[in-house]
Amino acid sequence: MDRMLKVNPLPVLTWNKQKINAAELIWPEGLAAGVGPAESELPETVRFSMLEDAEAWYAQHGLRYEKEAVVACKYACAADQEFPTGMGGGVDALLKECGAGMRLYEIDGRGISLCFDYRYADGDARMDSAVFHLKPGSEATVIEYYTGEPGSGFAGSVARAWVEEGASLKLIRLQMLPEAFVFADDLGARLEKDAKLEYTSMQLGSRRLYAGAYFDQWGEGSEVDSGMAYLAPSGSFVDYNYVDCFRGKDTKGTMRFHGVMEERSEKNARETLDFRKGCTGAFGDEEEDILAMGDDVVNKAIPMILGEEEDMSGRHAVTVGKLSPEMLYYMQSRGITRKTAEEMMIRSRIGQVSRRIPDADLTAAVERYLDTYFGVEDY
Amino acid sequence: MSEKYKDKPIDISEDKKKDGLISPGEREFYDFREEERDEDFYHVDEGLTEEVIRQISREKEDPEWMLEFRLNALKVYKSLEIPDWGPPIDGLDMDHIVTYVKPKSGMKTSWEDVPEEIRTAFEKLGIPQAERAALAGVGAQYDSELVYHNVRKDVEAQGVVYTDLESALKGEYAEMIREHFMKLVPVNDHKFAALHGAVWSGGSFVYAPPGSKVEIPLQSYFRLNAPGAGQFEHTLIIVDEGADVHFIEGCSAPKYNVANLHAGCVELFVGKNAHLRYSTIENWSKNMYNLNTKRAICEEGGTIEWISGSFGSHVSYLYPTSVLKGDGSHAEFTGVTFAGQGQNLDTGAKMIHLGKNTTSFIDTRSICKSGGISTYRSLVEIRKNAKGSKASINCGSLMLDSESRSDTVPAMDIRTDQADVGHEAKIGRISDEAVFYLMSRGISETEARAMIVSGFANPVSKELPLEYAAEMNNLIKMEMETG
Repeated sequence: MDRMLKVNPLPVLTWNKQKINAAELIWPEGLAAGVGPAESELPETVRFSMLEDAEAWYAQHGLRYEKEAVVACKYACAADQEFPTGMGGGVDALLKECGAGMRLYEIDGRGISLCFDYRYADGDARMDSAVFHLKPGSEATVIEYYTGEPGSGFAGSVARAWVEEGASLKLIRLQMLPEAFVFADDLGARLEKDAKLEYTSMQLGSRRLYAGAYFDQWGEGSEVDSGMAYLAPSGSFVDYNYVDCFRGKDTKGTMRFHGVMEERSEKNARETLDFRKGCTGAFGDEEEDILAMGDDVVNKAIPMILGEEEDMSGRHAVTVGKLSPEMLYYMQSRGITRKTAEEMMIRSRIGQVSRRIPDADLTAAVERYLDTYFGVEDY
Repeated sequence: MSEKYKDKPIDISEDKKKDGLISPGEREFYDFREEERDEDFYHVDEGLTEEVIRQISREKEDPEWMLEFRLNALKVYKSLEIPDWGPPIDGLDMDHIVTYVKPKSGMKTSWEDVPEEIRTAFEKLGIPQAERAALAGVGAQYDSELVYHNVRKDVEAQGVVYTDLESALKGEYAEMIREHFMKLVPVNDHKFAALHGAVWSGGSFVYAPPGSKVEIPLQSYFRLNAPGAGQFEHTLIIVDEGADVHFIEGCSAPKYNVANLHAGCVELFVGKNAHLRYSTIENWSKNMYNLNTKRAICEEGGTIEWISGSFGSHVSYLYPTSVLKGDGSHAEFTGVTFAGQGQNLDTGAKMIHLGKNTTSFIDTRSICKSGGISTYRSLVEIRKNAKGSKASINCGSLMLDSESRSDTVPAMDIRTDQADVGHEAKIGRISDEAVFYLMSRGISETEARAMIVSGFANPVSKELPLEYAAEMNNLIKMEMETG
């Protein structure tokens, strides 16, 4: 298998000169199947098993659907996956290549909290994959937490969530890997009638990040609320592809992105609201807010709305800004240094998303990470 | 690929096939064809070969460098791939396109001297009347060549040159043409730019000297009348320092049951502190592949304004590009696209910020109905040195039924932190409440919907001279009533 994979494909192609139709991910030699996180004790209402043949499981549960028609010389993200994810079919190929099975968590109950702690050692190169299956009416909070020892490596994590009728999932991914780690973070979620998903993605470490999310809203009245925050320090690379696909009636989806880019960082953002025929009454809203903190940045974004249903409403907005001289002057006149003012702005951006984390220990961990990032020693 | 979105053969019902024209009543204002005699026209063979290029060049009495330019462009055309990202164009078979059709009458400066059948066509389109009422100069192209060109004396007196490109290529402005021709849109830019370079014919040349002001617009109108033909006019406008020009471009064709092709090219050079407004009402027939390239470059303090109404064609690829080279230069693009039955219109704009403190503004409206596909596609690029630049993009889409499709594909590429960029897009439908309100005031549902759509397109129509705004509103009304 070629070590260069096309990932994060745009649902609809555009000019090739912009080099944003997909990203290229070079995966490391010796990539191995992950052993999973350090297991937390599972409650009785959660059943764990290993899925050796994920596609057979999709078929058994009717999750497999015809590969989708493509549109006007365009292709759909889902075209090459049985259960689409944001990073696309390349990631499934990679899972197969390294022989990674899928950890299946079947959740049948309410008020369930699961916390998975993925730890990496220097030189690790692993791909992990999990499926969270929330049975009808269930309610769970799942936290996936990625940290590592100083050094370099490759961490890949693919999650799929099947949220059945009336079920509700809060999924939080908090990544604070050492900077020399490459992180590939992928999600595919399928929502049935009245299902809800709140997805929070905090990307603080890793100087080379690939992230994808595909929300497939089949069920009438299903809702997705997604928030992503990322920190792109000097010289880092961030590439993500988020797609919210509205299929059911009266579906709702919001996506919020808050990013901080420091000098010589590069970011490619693909954000799509995809309204399919039949999603009458659907509403999609997407916003990206970027704070550019230095020169020589490469800040690319393609926020798309695709529509084949008349009775829906979609909106997206992007703002790219900097710390304005007026604001800086105001702060400095109050005795706040430029460095402190910048730090406040960054904390504010990250805080927009970190406040969604329901675990006080983890929010404190985020604060500690930021303190270290800013060189604050007395925390 | 879904059958629905494949490029379909041009669909003409049996009764329409009788005379090769669409039936009256549907789009009769534009779908007419005057009786013509074959002996009044010269045309090259179908297809694209070196011999065809040499024939065109001989016929046009090109200077030697232009023949070489054309032959090189043909090579580039053959080396480039068809784009893989836009609407399908597999129904376009270049082996069956006639790239050059020339009325033998030549170009005239009085409408009385233009052959009757051609003059009648332009009279039906209202061009001579508009010239008398509201234009400073008119160029009228029929198939591959201009048949009429005239400019008002007071405009000429300012030193403004408005002529056909062929005359300019051989006359006093030959060097200026050579210096600018396809420099902004090089032939290797994309496959259809290369095609244009190989077979271009017709089009206009405008030169506005420093400080000149053309207060009423100049207009070029392009009519493609021959079935299975291509039109490849080249418009070159140079607005020198401090000058001000408004140029209007119109185009139409009758509908045939074979594919026609339009691959024109517009190059606009806006000098220091100069201002150019370029307005287009495009209403090609629905068997047309409109693969047009338009680009402007602005020097320090220069301004380019694009006003664009896209209504016709079977498939369109159209993204007017503004290169803001000079510090403090400014670009605006205001556009409306209406895609009806059988149309796949991929339109938008590109803004490239190179200079410091440059500003750009995009405001577009897309409407689709009766199975039409409308794609808004754009690019805002702010390069590293364009510090202090600002860009704002606002695009709205209105879907009138669920048979249609509307996509917005805006890309941004920003390479400095010293820039402010804002982007907002909305997509939705006509609100039932608004229709109900108008109907409660005695307006029929069709009229109410047409009024709402016209209001939605108002940002474009309000920027046009009155006659053209009225034409655009008529086009919207016509589109709302058909399909």
